[in-house]
Amino acid sequence: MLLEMKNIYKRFNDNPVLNGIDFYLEKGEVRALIGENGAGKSTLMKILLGLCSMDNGEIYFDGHPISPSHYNEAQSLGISMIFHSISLIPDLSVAENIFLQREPLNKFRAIKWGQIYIEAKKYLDSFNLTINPKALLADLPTSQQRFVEIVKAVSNNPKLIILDEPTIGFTEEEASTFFNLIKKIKTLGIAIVYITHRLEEIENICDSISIMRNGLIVKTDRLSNIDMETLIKLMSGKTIKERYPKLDIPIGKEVLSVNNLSINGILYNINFSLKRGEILGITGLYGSGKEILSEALFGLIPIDDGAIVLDDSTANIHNSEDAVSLGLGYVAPNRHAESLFLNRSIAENISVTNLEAVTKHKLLDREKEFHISKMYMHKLQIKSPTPQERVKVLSSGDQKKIILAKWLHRKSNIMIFDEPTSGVDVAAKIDIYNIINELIRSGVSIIFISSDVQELIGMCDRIIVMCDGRMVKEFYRNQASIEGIFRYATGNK
Amino acid sequence: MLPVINKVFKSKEFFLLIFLVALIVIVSIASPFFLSINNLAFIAQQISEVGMMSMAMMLVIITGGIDFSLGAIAGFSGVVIGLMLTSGANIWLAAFSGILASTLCGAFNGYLIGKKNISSLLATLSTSLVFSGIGIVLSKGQPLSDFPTAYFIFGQGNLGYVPVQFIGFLIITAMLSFILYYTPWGRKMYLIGENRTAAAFSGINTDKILLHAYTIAGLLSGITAVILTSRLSTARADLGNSYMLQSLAAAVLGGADLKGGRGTIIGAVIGATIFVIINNGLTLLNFPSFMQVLLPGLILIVILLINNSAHYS
Repeated sequence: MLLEMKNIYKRFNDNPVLNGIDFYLEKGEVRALIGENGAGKSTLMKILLGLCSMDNGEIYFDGHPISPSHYNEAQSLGISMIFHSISLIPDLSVAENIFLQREPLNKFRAIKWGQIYIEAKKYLDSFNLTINPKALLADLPTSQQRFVEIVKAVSNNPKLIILDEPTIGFTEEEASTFFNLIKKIKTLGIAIVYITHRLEEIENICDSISIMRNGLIVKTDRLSNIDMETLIKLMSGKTIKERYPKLDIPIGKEVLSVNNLSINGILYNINFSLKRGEILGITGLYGSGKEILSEALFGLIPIDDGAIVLDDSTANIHNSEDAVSLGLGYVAPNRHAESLFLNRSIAENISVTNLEAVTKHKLLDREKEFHISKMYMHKLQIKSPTPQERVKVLSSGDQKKIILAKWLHRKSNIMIFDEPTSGVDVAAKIDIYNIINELIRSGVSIIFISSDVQELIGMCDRIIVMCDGRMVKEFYRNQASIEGIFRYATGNK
Repeated sequence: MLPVINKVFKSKEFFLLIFLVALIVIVSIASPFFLSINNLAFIAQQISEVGMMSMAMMLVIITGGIDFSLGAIAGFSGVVIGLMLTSGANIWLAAFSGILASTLCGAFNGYLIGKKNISSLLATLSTSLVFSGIGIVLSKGQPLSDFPTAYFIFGQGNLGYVPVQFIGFLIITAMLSFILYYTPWGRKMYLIGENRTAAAFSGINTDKILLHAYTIAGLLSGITAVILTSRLSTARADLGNSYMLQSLAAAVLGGADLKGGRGTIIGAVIGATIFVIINNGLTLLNFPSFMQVLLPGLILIVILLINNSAHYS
């Protein structure tokens, strides 16, 4: 037995988060740890890492009782964690990052640069990664930064690595490279705790699974003994019939057409149209231009050539204010940086897209703002006593809902959703799909940008595949397959 | 209604107001001259100038920026006024030209910071040199004086016992406070300060709002220049220099957060008033002049420490 966590209790203020957890792990075992947002997964792991204290319980690692009070302590015991966000230094090279604070020194205590690069390359090669050890970390795509982080962790010879949703934002290809990396780590006899919301990943790499709900582990079993349906039921307490509740809505006339849109060096001759009530999926690998396209449509990046036509007339979109007043809405992918005002209230975060709707005689009517926000909080089941609460203190799931609420408040005709379900658990994903359904039922058209090809196939009427700044293929709903999309996205035909 | 009152009592401004009242009580006990009509009028004159600049600074800090060129703008604007007056222009035309010049200076800052996305610190440090430079060239480095006596109405006139500029100052304070709290435009200023990217991603034209903020800051510096040149009967390119740091200190004392998104006009005014009264008190009580530099600095540090500890508790 590598790890034994016994009878772990933890409360925050009056809020019980862990209610007597028993968590055991064998040497070299790969265990999936799943549960809805707020089930207590992160807290449990933070306690193991010494990032958070426990109220009660015992931890044994490699047979010895431990009580780490600091992350360094956990690391020296052989426990490493790969966090949600990349925790490397962007301005250093790949090799420097790997050997940070344990650089090989010569007798004058100067860094042996030659050796650093050779050693780093050796590590990267052993994982079949073609990453240049001299490359600046910031110049690499997120997925490769993630790989470097994992290589760095493994180079410390740990006994246990904890991965917290490592594949967020990965494309299928990146994910498959990642799974190979994990399989390699497994052969080194390193145990892994794998926290994820993407259930289909688990089958690829995990031996066993633990399901958490409301601060308890409700089940731990071999993966082969559990099917997907039971799993979802155990996790959310609900039975879910359909993971992609796609509605058949009659599609109306064209509302948006993009003609020969180009941004020098980034996007080339993008042409597509969107009809009323339609969900148009857009996918592609990192750097394919799908992220830039949405910002260009929304007026955040100037376009060099081409036209955006809305309701049969050419739209002059110079900034996001123009875009919004012409009926566009944009759910941005990055929760904190791009979408929320963390220190301001829920009400202020919701009303921002349409301040005119909360005015009386052109002046802000805070009472009206309060009631409108309250209505959206109720509708989206945002768990907070009052719209005056600061958004900072809400759970990540509720924060995500606030972003939806603010665009529901705008009542845009065309909504761009950019990775709306990344980092969200299965039940909350289905909530988001249902909101999308509700929108199209009320006549809104949707552009759905995602790296999750499966969800696009499940939800979209058409899917556009992008590669190197170009549209390379358009699939209709019944023609699309993961393999097909993947082939075009990687530049093959 | 009750929660509102509760909020007022818990606010930073209320805490500062208590501090201000205590200060007034101490100084008026220590010096019987403090509450004399002449001295109060002098204080009102000082508050009008420092307070006006502090409001300008506060406005910019709320949007997440800083404006190091406010003093230079006031100096430049004063030179424009001085040149107009000495070449025989009408006093209203002269004042208007000065304010127009300062407003354009502010708009230029706003263009660099909004549209061109240059950091406010670097942009305004550079433009402050440019504005000062132009002011020195135009005035040939000499003070301008011999203004027509009619011009002294703006900085030396009284309505009853109350200085004219103080009434103007109160009106502007009320207007700005109202606009910031009650209009969507004011709300957008705070949101941009809190998170400029999120504001843009929510459909706010951030370039436009930032342009407005710096333009208004320039306008307020111009009004200060009118008051200053009228009170001192002279104009110099460096006239506003000492006001820049004072206004920054007053705004910070008054609850501005340099990270943006926080602070109120009233806070800036209370901050400015505290500094004016401390300086006045020290002069009345014959403290050595270095204390006028030292003490406000020490008080600022103490208040910042208190603010910070309240933040983390």
